[in-house]
Amino acid sequence: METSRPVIVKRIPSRVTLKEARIFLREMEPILRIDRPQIVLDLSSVRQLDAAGVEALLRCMADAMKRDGDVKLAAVSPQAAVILELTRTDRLFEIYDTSTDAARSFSGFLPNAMRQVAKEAAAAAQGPPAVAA
Amino acid sequence: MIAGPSTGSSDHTMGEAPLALLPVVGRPVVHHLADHLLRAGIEEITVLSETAPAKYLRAAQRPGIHWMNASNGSLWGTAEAVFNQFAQGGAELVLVIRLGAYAEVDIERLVQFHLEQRNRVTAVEDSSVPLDVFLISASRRNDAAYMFRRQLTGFRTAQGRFRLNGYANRLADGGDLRRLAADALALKTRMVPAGRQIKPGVWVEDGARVHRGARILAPAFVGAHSKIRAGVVLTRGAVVEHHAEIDCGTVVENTSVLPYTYIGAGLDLSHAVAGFHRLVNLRRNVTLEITDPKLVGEAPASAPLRTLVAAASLAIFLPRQFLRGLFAPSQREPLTALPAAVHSPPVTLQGLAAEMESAATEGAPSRSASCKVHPRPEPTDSAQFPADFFVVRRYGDQ
Repeated sequence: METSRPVIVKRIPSRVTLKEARIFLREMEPILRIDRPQIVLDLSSVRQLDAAGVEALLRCMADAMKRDGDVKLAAVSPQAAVILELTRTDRLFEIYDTSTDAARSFSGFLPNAMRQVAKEAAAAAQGPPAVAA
Repeated sequence: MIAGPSTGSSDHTMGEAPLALLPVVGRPVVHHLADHLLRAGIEEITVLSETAPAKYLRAAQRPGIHWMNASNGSLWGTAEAVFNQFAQGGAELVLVIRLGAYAEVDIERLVQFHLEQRNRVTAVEDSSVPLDVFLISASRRNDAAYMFRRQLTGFRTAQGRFRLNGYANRLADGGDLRRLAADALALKTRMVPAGRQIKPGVWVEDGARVHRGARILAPAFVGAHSKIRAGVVLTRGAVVEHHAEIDCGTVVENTSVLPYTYIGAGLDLSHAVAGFHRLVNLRRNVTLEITDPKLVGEAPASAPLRTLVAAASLAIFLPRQFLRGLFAPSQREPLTALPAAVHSPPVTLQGLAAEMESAATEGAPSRSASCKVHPRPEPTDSAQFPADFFVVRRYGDQ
């Protein structure tokens, strides 16, 4: 089952410190305002990331999740990976090797609520379960 | 010992600090090396240096080692002069070590080999680690001069080769420094960690402040005047050198924290060397320059300056907290009432309570009369949080 919602891929600049994080959040604001945003952040060119940058990523994820969306990370550079591990935020994000994999993952997995609806629909279509003799 | 430029591709430094002058388990590598030589019977040790910054040299100076600073370009000339001085002073053999690799040479066997083979110069070799360790007969001044003029890379005559069978470490980068610290804690080397062993495998130096809420799992080392805050976990060979600070809740695993380094709160530092605003991650083989003091910072090496910085930060912190308390919006969420089911007696006891009530009204003794069931009192404050809740935190496989 495929979802038809668009996946937005955003490339993060090479340096994400306090100033750049503010600019990044300003740029992300309209994207995060849409319903169920599906966002992939490409961290392949990140060379310097600090606490403000990590906070910006977390804020993006929190805002996206408030609107029933998600933020996934892709192609994380070794430098960014070290900082994400250091700040224990690597376990909060889904991380993929490439942006394509990350974008594809949005259509591969359904949210739990939709999965439950689909399960109930399939059960209703099959009819009541047969009683064993 | 000569602290000069290396012959190899590595510069044997971290930041601007020569690795041989950095402390490992409490003392600079050069001190560990000097102790090894003094124990082996070497009578006089002179260290020649050219480029090392003053603050590292100051920390590495101690009685028993004579330090000489050579001016730019005169290192090898000074080395030749010192060699001649030793020869004139009556020395029979002179051991020349270029500071870089750390090697525990069996000096007694080396001397025996040198004398038996009647070598002028004997070079110590290791299969995996390039070493610049030479034993030279003091009477062979021309051979020594030839070597020094070629920065220990050329020899006048064929030199004898002595195979090292002790511990050796290349000490070329942060990864090697970390390996040396881990090997010292595992007692694979002859290095002895400074301080006292407070429990098997845990060494703590005098002046270290360890919060009682911190956990230190062996093997680990905590250097002098370092601060280990509440909730910190040091594990799997963590080494915190002197004057370092680990802030609340941080986990340090298989990592060396260099002197005067501050590690921020709530971090997960593993398989790394941290210091001088740098983080060398050994698993990913990445060196990061960290400018954010919330993650990795550095305290000043001078004690009055450290006190001044601490006083200034306190002077800023207190008014800021006061203003925040006055004007910041409250983060406290309104308390919600607990469901009634929480306060009602459990289902298993409800039947028993009913039976006792009926027995009490009839006045007849019951089988369970000795058992008293106190129905819970009606909650006066339904928002009160039950006291029998607790929190468990998990660190890796701990």
